[in-house]
Amino acid sequence: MMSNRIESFPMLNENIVSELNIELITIEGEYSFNNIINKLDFIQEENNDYVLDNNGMWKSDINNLHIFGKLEISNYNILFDEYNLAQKDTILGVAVTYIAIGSSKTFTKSIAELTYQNNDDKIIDFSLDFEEGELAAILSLKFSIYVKNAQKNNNSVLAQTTGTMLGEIYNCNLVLEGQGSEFPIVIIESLESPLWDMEINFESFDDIFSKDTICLKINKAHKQFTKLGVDKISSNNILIWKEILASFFENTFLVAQQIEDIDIIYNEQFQEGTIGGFLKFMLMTFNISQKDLKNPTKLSIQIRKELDQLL
Amino acid sequence: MEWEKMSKKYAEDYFNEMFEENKNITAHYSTKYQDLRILIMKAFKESLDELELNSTDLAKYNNIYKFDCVFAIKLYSIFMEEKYRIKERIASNDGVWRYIQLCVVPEIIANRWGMENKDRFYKVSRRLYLKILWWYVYLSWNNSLEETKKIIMSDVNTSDTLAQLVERSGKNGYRVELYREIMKEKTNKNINTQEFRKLMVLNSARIKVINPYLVNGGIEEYVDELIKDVRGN
Repeated sequence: MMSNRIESFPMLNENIVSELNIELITIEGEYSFNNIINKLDFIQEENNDYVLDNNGMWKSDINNLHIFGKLEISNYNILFDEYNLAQKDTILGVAVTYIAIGSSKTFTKSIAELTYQNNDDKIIDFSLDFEEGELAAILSLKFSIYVKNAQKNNNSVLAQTTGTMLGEIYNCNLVLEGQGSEFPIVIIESLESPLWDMEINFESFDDIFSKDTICLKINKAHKQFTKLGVDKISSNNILIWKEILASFFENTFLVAQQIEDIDIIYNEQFQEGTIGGFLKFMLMTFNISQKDLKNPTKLSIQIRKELDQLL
Repeated sequence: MEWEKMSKKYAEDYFNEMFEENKNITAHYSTKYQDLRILIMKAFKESLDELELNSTDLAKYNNIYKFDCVFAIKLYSIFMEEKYRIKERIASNDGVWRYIQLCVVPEIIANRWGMENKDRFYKVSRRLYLKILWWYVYLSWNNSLEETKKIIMSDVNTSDTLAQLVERSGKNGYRVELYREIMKEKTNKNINTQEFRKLMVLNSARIKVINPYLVNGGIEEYVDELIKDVRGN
């Protein structure tokens, strides 16, 4: 029978984790398309890895994703002796948990065993597979140490129950879409829709920034579509693109003000990949003051002025 | 299918205009939803027929959970079709459900929950009617639609089971395999409503310390222990 009481036992802390010298040696991704395996690049910035497809094809809603990599852990005997988190005959485990932010799912998988032995450095392989439509926006990975198997010892205060989490050792976020400075463009095909349209579908600045919450929709079925030159902005189409983008951002900022108190965008930090993070980045890019943001005429002028510089 | 989405703010305005001012329930949808509307309305009608009900009986029907289950299975089956396939990403998007509920099949929500039930139409994420039916089937899934139907329609399950299961997503989302095992064993071991509530509370407390996926013996062992502890044996 598992214990119902709140267990109290020594757990990992910052010092111990630091001594374990955890390093994510590699992380790679790939997906299959027409039975061909395509590689994805991961570009690291701070604690986020941005998933990038050089073919420009991978999308988490229509493609699968296979992630694999190597995690290195050193000096882990300290868990059994110096810091005494586990009895020497205990088998500890390393696990990876994924949290699919935006698609309401979490799962944990054991990836290695740690036992007290002479060689206490280990390179651990891990892999995770996702089907198309399973992920959205951000995939958070958390690596932890847990008790896999322990001999029962009633006199010990150490964690002994199988599955007990001793703490996190490393975590990272894979940003699958909606990277900071970009915004998602979706090509639609609709006879009844205008050439371009937009979708704003968030309820809080903490919501995930993805094509499901903010996107610019370009209509392939519209008779003027070819004139847009979606693939490349040139002197032939720059004016129309500037105007589409100006209207898109103007409308986004105006709608955002109806949803939440926009002043907090200026005063607070928002996590990467959130609507707040995106709005903050764009307001800074367009150099829009708090005062101008609330004046539709000035807002409109400021966005167009900055776009003239940027494009 | 490129799903239409409706923000909460827009849904509120739409709801106020359509239902409060006009007292009128009319579907207004993009033409691409035409066939989907026909399918969902048909599923709703067939569910009523199966239980020999008409839509006005729903409000006073004493086994409304049974109706919800019959309809949920039919609804889920529609969203399994290639053309309308919904996976976790879309199923988590309230905007998609709001659009379907307010624009495509508003009559269904009105018949089941009443015309003025804002929570069920658009307001409360964990109460959106069609959304929670989809997640209930998804979280109870066991090999096939037929097997899953047997599980959710078992006599030990009630509307409380549905609420307890779907409304406990946790901040990191659902542990899908764990919930599926719990639902399977709930039915196999005849766990009643009171025991189930205790089990879900115990699980919420326990997962703060123990990860069900990492227990020796796996999720099956973890759920078995939960049940033993709830029943005190």
